[in-house]
Amino acid sequence: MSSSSGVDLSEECLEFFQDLKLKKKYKYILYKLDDSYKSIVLEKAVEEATYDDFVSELTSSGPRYAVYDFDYEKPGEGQRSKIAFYSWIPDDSKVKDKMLYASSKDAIRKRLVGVAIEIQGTDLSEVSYEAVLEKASRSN
Amino acid sequence: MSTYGGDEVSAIVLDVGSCWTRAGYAGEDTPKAVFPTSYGYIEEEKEIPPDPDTQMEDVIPTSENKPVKSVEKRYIIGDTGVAAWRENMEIKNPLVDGLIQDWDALEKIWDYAFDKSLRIDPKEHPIFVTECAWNTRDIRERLTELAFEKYNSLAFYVAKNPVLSAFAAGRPTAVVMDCGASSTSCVPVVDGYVLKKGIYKQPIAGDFLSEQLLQLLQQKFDINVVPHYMIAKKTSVDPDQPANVEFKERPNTTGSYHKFMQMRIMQEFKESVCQVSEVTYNHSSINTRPMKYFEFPDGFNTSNGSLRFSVPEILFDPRFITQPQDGPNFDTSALLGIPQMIHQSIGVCDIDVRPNLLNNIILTGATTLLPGFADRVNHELSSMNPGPKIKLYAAGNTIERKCSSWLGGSILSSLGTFHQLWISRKEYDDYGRGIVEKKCDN
Ligand SMILES: Nc1ncnc2c1ncn2[C@@H]1O[C@H](COP(=O)(O)OP(=O)(O)O)[C@@H](O)[C@H]1O
Ligand SMILES: [Mg+2]
Repeated sequence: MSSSSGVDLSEECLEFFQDLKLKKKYKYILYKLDDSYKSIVLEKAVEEATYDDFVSELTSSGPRYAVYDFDYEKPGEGQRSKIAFYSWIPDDSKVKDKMLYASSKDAIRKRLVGVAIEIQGTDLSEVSYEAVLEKASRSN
Repeated sequence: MSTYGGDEVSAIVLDVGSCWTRAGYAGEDTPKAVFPTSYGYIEEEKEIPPDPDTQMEDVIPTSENKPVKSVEKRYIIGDTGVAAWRENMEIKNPLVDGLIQDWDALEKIWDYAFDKSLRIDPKEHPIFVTECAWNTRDIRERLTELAFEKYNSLAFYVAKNPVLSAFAAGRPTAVVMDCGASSTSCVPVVDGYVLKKGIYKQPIAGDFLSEQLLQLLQQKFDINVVPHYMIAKKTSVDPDQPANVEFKERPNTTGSYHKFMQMRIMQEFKESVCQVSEVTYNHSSINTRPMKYFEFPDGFNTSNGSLRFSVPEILFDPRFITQPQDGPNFDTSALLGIPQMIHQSIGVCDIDVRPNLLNNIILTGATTLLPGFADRVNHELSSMNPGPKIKLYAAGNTIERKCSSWLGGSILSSLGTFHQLWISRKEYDDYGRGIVEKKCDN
């Protein structure tokens, strides 16, 4: 089954992900549930942005899923890049949105092959650069 | 199959908890009906006259052709029903350790929910039920069978309480600490699935606190806690003075009914008087906290000091349990405080998910509404895990805290996309009751 809610993923979401992963065409992508709550759709794909731009965009409206092409320095090994996946479901969301986004996460997460870091974000500190960097450094 | 997905026919959501049964329509944000899961019954002897065919004048009566006595149980369900005094009415709970034991009573509860509370015909609705994380395969299969065979429901689904609570908190991965009436449990949920090996539970929760309070209050003040049903007339008395009360004639009251009504007073006592120490318990600082006043139904009234903290403390330190004056002692050696339960539940999970679990601890169940509860859990866990970040989530909304699994089920089963997940009548007919393991695998 695609997810615990039965919500599905539109194919377009995967195409944009491939372009981020293989062609480095985008810095980040935002996804959301469509208005009928039937599938996850693309909201926006951004070519150039800083991490701060991304976080302020991610956290400025309700719940979202996102991928970000995360660059960082690994001491002694130089520049590294990893794809981070975010489920952003802030604690002040409506309970219906929390339920929907949490129970539908697998519909997108399981289809994104090549994600190295997964972030379950419910407040700003969990999606901060430091928090993600820490996860990036811990994973291989 | 889309006939019952989405808006056309709403599903019925049932959460039969150890204390309360919650029943309502999918898509609504509170259950239409909340009534006690405990039920009353009266055993009535009925004489079945012997079969006239076998009655012959010249036969000496034997045990076989004497009138046969059969005992029939009359069930009383619902809040006003069980609380009203009746001669010989026993009160019983159909669940033991969260598991359904008494199926006749469970059917009566479903009947009551469908016929009396919601006034719906279960044939016309899908039925969504919640279950505890340690439910057995046999019980889930019997529930499936019940929904289709007896109630002829359109479709059926069963989902685990902690998974629903985790989703309703916006967290596919979390540890769900549920402190309700009969048990306290910690269940790790990872990406929407229960991690069975991490389930910790013990039978020390709200009802146990009520029992302890009852015992301590009766010992301390040398009083009997007198429920409303016994009282004909009371006169107000000064604090700590014996009650001045006239009793009603209540012949053939059962012990179980009397206890049930005493426990209701203890429930009120907990809600208005009890509190959890926000930091590790310390006698001298507890003694400086303000007292809280309580008036019992018979008029006896008093201000309560350390008791209001020391009893809830049992949840955090089982050594605070008072041993009964008569009867066998509780074995407290294997019991854990709630912070230890959470810690161990996380500790058996894979090392890579532990930080995520520590950061997503959900407190649910009505006993967590005791003031100071969340602060205390946070305080203890932080000193047990000095490094990683700890974050607790406890819904601010009381309904959400008491009914998070009902609410989660209500939202999930109202989604149009959920129609693919239901066990349909046809699937049940084709595959039998075992289909539940495959389709409801959360
Ligand atoms: N405000 C409150 N403060 C303390 N305890 C409470 C409060 N409200 C309910 N309780 C206790 O919580 C228990 C019921 O919890 P609940 O989560 O509804 O149980 P269940 O799901 O097992 O039916 C009872 O023991 C009741 O006395
Ligand atoms: Mg419960």
